[in-house]
Amino acid sequence: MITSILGGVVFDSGDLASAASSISTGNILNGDKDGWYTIIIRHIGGAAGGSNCLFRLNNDSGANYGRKGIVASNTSVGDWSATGETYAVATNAENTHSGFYVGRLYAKSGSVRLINGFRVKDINGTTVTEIVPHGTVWNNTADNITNITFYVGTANHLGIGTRIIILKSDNFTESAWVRVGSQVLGAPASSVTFSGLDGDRDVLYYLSGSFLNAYAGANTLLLNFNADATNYGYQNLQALNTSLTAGRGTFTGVILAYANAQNEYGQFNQLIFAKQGFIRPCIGNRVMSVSGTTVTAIDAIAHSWNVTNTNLTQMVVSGASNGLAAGTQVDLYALRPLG
Amino acid sequence: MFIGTRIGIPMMQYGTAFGSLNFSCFQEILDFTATGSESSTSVAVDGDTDKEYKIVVRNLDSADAVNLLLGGDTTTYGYQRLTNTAGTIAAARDTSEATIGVCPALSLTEMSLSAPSGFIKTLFLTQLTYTSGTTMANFNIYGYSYDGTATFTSLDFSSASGNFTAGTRITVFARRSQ
Repeated sequence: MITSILGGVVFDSGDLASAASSISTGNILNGDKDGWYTIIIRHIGGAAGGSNCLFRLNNDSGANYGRKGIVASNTSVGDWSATGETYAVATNAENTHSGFYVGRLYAKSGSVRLINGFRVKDINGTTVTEIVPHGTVWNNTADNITNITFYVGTANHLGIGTRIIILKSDNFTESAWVRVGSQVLGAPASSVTFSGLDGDRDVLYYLSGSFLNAYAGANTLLLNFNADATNYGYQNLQALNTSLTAGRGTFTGVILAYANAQNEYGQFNQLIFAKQGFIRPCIGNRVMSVSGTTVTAIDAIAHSWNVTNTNLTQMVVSGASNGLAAGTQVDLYALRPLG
Repeated sequence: MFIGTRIGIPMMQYGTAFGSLNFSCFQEILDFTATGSESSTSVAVDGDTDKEYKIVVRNLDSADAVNLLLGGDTTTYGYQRLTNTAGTIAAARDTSEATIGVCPALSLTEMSLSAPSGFIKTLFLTQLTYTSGTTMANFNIYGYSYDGTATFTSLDFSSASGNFTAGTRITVFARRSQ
């Protein structure tokens, strides 16, 4: 899940200019000193019949990986678990489609390595096929992590435009994330705008915020890119009291946050792959309709912005008229990979 | 343009960080690794100033969780959760917790704590729990509420029972600029 965006870049494949069957970091990592790694994969399917993008730590191909998560596909919710696998599962995309993955790997030896992951499977246009928040274990306590190898089962299925970025939380000298905008409202407002962005340069944005609903009714906050209100799709997974639901559809923006009534609170995060050339995937989470000690609902959600050929230059967070109360805060961070 | 719309001017901040994430967005304010002789650890904060914290806990204890209190308060927490417990998916809500159950035994937890001035505090967290071999026991997602709008001045971590197991690590980052 996307709870933080910390770190400096230790590996960046760049957008692949030609399809590949595997990508290795080389022996540039030092897991015992680097803290933990954030692995971000935007996968473009490069071959017919292809599907998963997988990875191995220290190229370990033994049956030393396991996972457990919750899969949401359309309205279906289920268990996503396995043991004794020979790889960690990242994303999935069919030929010419997109997949998206973020994983946080606690890398230090001395105990098994755990990865907190979020997988978005096969995005085609505005259709987001499936999301899986999950955990992965690498059953190795002894070895320092020095490299990660990403690969696919079908030759050349890491298609043109695929990009892999790895961040480390320690042992770096140059920051990658910068806070490019911060809005703390002094009075109720209907929207918050971030302009002058350059998605092609920044590649990734992280939006984080909390709001108090000042509107006398339900208030859905949307995030819109470049004033577009038509080209969004989503898949979500939600828990409300004892009820579990999931859904897939299209909408007029990224569904950022929600409060059911006036004076309720909400918290939200979104990680946005912003560079043009392919659809722009987003993954996020929401804490919704909070009042006192009652958290009405939480959810994990992924979106597709199905606009491929325009630089992302503006983001607008908006909701009901003057529905963002004073004190509402929205922060925007950009990755700005070096070079 | 709606009345009250605020235009954000991008602020280009380029920081040079030496060491652990001391850069222009978040500052590491606690990096605690247990030796086995501690039952708790705390860090002084100003929630109104910081507004947001990122917290990672790696708990190596085989039986006991790591808990969190905001400003030592033991009375005013609630949660909504979504869990996969040994393959069973479920959801549940509680409105009267005395603590934030941050990290179960043998788990990794990441959380984002939002603490703006005058607001109820909210947290979003994910927990991964390991059993043995290649078996993951549980995967959980929580949203927490702390029903207090006043500033809290400490983040207080403790073992649910006895001392932390040696090697248990708690790292806290605050939203601060250099």
